Amino acid sequence: MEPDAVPSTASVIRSGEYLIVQKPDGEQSRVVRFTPKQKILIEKLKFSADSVFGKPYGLFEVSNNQCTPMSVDRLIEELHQQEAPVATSLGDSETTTSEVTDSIDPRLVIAPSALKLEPEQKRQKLEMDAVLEMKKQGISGQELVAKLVQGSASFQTRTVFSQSKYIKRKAKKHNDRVLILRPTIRLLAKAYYLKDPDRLAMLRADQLALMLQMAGVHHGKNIIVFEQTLGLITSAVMERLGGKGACVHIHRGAVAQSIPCVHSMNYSESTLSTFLPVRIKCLLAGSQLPYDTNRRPVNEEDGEDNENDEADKKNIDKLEDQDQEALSRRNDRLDREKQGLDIISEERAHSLIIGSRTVDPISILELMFPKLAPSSSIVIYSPHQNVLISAYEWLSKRPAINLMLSDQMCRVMQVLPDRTHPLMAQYVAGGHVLTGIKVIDQ
Amino acid sequence: MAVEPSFMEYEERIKEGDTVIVYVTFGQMVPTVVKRGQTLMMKYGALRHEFIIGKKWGQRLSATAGYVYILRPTSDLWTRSLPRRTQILYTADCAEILSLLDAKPGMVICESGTGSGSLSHAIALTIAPSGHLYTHDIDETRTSKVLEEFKLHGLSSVTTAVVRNVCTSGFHVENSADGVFLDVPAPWEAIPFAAKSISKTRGGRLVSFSPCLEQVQRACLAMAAAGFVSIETIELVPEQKKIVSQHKQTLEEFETMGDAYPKERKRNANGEVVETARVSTAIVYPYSQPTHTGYLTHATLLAVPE
Repeated sequence: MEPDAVPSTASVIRSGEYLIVQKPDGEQSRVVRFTPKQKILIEKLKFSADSVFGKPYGLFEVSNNQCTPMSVDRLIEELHQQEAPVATSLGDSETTTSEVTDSIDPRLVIAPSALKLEPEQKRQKLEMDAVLEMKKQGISGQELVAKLVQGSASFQTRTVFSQSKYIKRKAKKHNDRVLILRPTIRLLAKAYYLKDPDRLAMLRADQLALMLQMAGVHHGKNIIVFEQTLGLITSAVMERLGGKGACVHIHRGAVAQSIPCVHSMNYSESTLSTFLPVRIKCLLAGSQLPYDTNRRPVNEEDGEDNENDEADKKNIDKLEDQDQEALSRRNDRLDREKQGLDIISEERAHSLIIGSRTVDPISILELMFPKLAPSSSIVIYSPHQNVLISAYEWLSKRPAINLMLSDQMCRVMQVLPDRTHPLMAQYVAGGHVLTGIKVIDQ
Repeated sequence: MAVEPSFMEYEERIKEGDTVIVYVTFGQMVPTVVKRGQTLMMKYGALRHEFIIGKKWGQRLSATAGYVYILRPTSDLWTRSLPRRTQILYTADCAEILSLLDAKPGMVICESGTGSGSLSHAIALTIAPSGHLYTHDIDETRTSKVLEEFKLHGLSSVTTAVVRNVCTSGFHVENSADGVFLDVPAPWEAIPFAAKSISKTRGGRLVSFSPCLEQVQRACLAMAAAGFVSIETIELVPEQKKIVSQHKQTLEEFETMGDAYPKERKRNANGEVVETARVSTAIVYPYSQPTHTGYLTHATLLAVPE
């Protein structure tokens, strides 16, 4: 089977595709399925999905709800303009610049504005209505920022650093540019984490990366995955397998559900072929069970389920009508499940990855540990350390070595000349990772 | 006799020529290529290779003075046990770099420098079997050594090692990479070349590893000037833990015996064995751990539409 070729020609956005939308230097990141007539909203910027179809992925400029592709060369030009001292490029402010450039360290100068204590409203002469009116007429973000600087009473009295900070803040707020990108595991992990860390069991992108490396996921491996992280771990494993090997995905109910991260990667048939969903029921029963044709699959939890899942469910209902398509889908599922169960029962799995949110890892280990091939890796993630301590004790009583419990801090830095430091506040919620290796202890 | 034993083959039993990781104790692992007639010497004495051949992966074996486990090599185990010729990138950083490069099978990745090949192995295993890794180093002994290892590990077909200073001469390939990784003293010099090596039609990712903030500042400016977007610098600090029993003394117990840990089993006044209730907990251990390796600066170069 051919692994996924990196697409070289199909580089334009198609209708119905899942895409990542974010502002350059923005704080949000969204996964959106672009459909005709849809309005896309990102950090106060709104545009129509229709305006990007047929255009290449990348940077766009938004004006009157329309997206126009924008060349990166323009960003580089703007950068060259900025390289001139901030204050001089924006009008007469010789006093401030001479003050700071003459040997005095700008960091040590107290901004005079900070001492004047003017009421906030008086500092900006430009009224909000006027700003909104200009925006309606399609003023560019940059032009607007220039006008705001002109209207600012305190701007000229600020230090150079403070002026640059002011411009950066305003530019960020009125930025009319947007990045529309093909989803990657890294971008999906970030988007879902920022949206609601709890639904992802607080799994941060850096910890997901660690799990994949500790489990040794690559082309041709057989990996068993139990996760409660919206399909993120499963999807990441599938991508690394690249069309060969197996991602045995253990799921509740009749059909794998709540795995938006698998659906939104726009995977090829080859990559999807490694996705082998296995019902928990079958594992508990110790053998493959037939489908219960008269009952709806269990699904109470998620309102936000993927459309594919919805379709799957409907198809199961239609089974009574002997719908051919549904029948073939069901047979495909049974076939994949059989492959997955065979890998488990024949002890051909090379790794077990557990990303738990509410399920005790020990209850999965009890079923799966005896079925792992010797020398295989075990990687367990949980937001709760005590859960992993229990799993550690369970494993330490069995033929498992190299048991390690770890945690990691990941922080983003602000990088600016002479002003580099970690961000003042950031998302830090995360979990712990327990790893080990199964062996044969005679 | 196996022709090209591999990190990517999954036979149940060990063959001659396979690279195995001999697990001696926690923290002590020795990689070795299994060859008849040879003997491995380590902490627990000698182990003849004859005894390894034909055994199942993961098997416990007796050496002359203790026992060891024979493990199948993985990227992480290789990083932990490889022969070090330089400072190396450890698993936490390697894992994050792979993720920041969006690495997956089929990708073309450029790397500089090669060093001891810790990250090189991680990348090669991830992009195999259809991708390619071009690894660059200014030191010929390093590239030739890593080529030898790639050959032993069955990774020759997906790797090329080049002796080259990327800061002055650029990368071995132009307009074809999906990702570039830099671990060089002056990354800002290599960044324009990195942009050139990335495919124009596909775009790509750049990750730069630098221990110092001064390097990071210059690298960030160079990235923006070369047209990279979404530039971000992160710092990753792993923390190892150890599971221990938590001792909870009452004030009375403390008064009678001080802070000496009570024994797990002791006899009470009537001579009956009483087990002290213990709770397991995790503490940070080892007490001293790395708190800084390097900053990771990553950025995207967008595709240029034709």
